[in-house]
Amino acid sequence: MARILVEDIKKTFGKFVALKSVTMEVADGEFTVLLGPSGCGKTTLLRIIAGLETADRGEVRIGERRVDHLPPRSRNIAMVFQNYAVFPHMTVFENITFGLRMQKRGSEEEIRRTARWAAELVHIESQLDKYTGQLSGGQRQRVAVARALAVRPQVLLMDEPLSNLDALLRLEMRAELKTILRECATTTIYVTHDQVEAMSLADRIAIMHGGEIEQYDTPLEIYRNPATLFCGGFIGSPPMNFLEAEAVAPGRWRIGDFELAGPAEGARLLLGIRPEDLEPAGEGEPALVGTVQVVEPLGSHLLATLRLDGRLLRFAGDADLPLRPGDTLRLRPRADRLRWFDPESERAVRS
Amino acid sequence: MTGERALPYLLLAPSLLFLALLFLWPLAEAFLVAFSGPGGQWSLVNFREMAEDLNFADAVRNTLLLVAVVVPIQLALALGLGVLLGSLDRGRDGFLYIWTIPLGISDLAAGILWLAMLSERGYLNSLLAALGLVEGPVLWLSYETPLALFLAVVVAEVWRATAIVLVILVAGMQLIPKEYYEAAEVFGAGAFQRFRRITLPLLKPSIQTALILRTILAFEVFAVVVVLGGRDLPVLAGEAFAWQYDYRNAGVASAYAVLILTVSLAATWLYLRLLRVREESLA
Ligand SMILES: Nc1ncnc2c1ncn2[C@@H]1O[C@H](COP(=O)(O)OP(=O)(O)OP(=O)(O)O)[C@@H](O)[C@H]1O
Ligand SMILES: [Mg+2]
Repeated sequence: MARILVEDIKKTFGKFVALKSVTMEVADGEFTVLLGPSGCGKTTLLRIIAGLETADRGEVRIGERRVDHLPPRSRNIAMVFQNYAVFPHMTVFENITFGLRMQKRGSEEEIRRTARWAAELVHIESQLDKYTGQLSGGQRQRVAVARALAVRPQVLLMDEPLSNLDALLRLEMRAELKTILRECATTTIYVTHDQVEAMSLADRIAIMHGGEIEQYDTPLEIYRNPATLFCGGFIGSPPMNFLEAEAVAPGRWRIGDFELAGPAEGARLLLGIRPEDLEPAGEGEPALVGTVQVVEPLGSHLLATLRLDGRLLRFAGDADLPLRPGDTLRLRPRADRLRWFDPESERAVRS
Repeated sequence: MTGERALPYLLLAPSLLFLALLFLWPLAEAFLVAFSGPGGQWSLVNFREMAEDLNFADAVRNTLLLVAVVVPIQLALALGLGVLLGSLDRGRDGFLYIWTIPLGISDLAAGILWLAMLSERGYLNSLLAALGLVEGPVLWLSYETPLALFLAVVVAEVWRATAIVLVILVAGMQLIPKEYYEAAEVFGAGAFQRFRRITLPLLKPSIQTALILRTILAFEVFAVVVVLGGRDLPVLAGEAFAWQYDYRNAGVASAYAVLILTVSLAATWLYLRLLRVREESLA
């Protein structure tokens, strides 16, 4: 049993606050993805959990143990470093077996077998005798992943482990990682920039922004119900549309000439709507009316950018829609997919 | 195009000339003198004379012993101090400066300093007497106490010249990226394993440089020995000096010089072989 509990972690570097107050629980065997823009503190949080950095305040538990004061090697973890940190003076084989040898785990025969298993998982078994200095960046990265997998840790921390692989290999390894880690019930925290990777791998995603976790939930829930403007704008490609709405009566809101039902409270709110949750409106129906600016046929669907009272609105529709730049398009948001945000606090408002 | 290619050679030429004039020429001269007999003909007579001298065996033995004792002590000390310095968060430079002070002192001055401590009326005897450990002044540095004399030279040499090893090794250690230690620690390596598996192998080039430099200088050990023991503790460089200036025999003195050079070259070659760094393992 190795759940991870991070509570009220704060970390500063000099005057710079890297983590404000981070609280997060990763259940035993769960796959959590840390997703956020560059510099938001993902690596810092991972390093604190690993014990490579000391938090200013707060506590970290792994399993039932409080580990704040334990050195990294006593925390029962393995880690894939963002910059790989594979040892240049050792061969690929020696790198992969490093953890097993340090922890004196198993006979020589078992160690060899595990190393081969790990190397095959990341397709590096033909390079076992090479020094890592002779490898490409992507190969080195895979050695780092194999080194971590080889110790079969209870807790695995991975800092952008696939960032340097080509698209095809990344897709393949992503699927394999997910399978293995599920089989081994490894509690995993996985850092990435790539939202597709996050959505496809995670049991739960933690969206980080400016040293805080803004939302921590299942991929679908984050997609459907972003907790903040940032989450809505960060997840989804293209991101959620935000339209300014004015209250006309309690529970009635107006965007330009379009009126719709919404939350009872407030005078000004932002309506959040995903591009694919807009539908062409019939004649005479109330609608958002815009001028098509750009049309991007993407094969599976069609993406249009509209101008609407000086704002841009993205719409994803059927690939066969006969749209051309300059056309006027009437759109209606799906009523069950409306999300409302307070522009002041930037947080979601329940409707 | 040709001009561009010749430029580096042109720029190197003055230093090469300088080296040839001040190093290679005297070296060739020394070889000539060492290998010529009384009539100027090619001969090994100087070497025979050198080998048949009473002090020769002692000088060889003492020099080799000094190298064998001093250099490992210096390497071990410098490694230990280097690791300690590396674990400091601040003040590293301050400590380094303090430890390198002896580097700024000439070896003659260093010898005199230690003489002041270890001579009959020196600080050591005063201290021992004050503690009631000895009756009267003890003669530490005489031919009757060769071991004490030898140890005194070892101590003085270690004090004087460990810092250069330390500086080389600390510079090398600072080049080792921190991530390697972090990775090693995450995967279960304790402090000793990190030293053995990360520091030592990655520090090999620096260790090699430091060893070569220190060993060559240790084969030439001279001033400290002369000050502390005169010829009571014969060493190769001291014998060369004695033959040149006391016996006025430049031939045998040159033979000693050639011997020192040969041993130094052999040691350098050995280090280069033993501590060879595989090129492919340099990231
Ligand atoms: N040792 C340090 N000293 C000073 N500032 C640091 C240090 N480590 C990180 N920071 C700062 O803390 C912030 C968070 O850094 P961190 O490496 O955690 O970002 P990240 O989310 O991993 O970014 P990326 O996606 O680019 O890897 C950054 O602004 C960075 O400049
Ligand atoms: Mg990072």
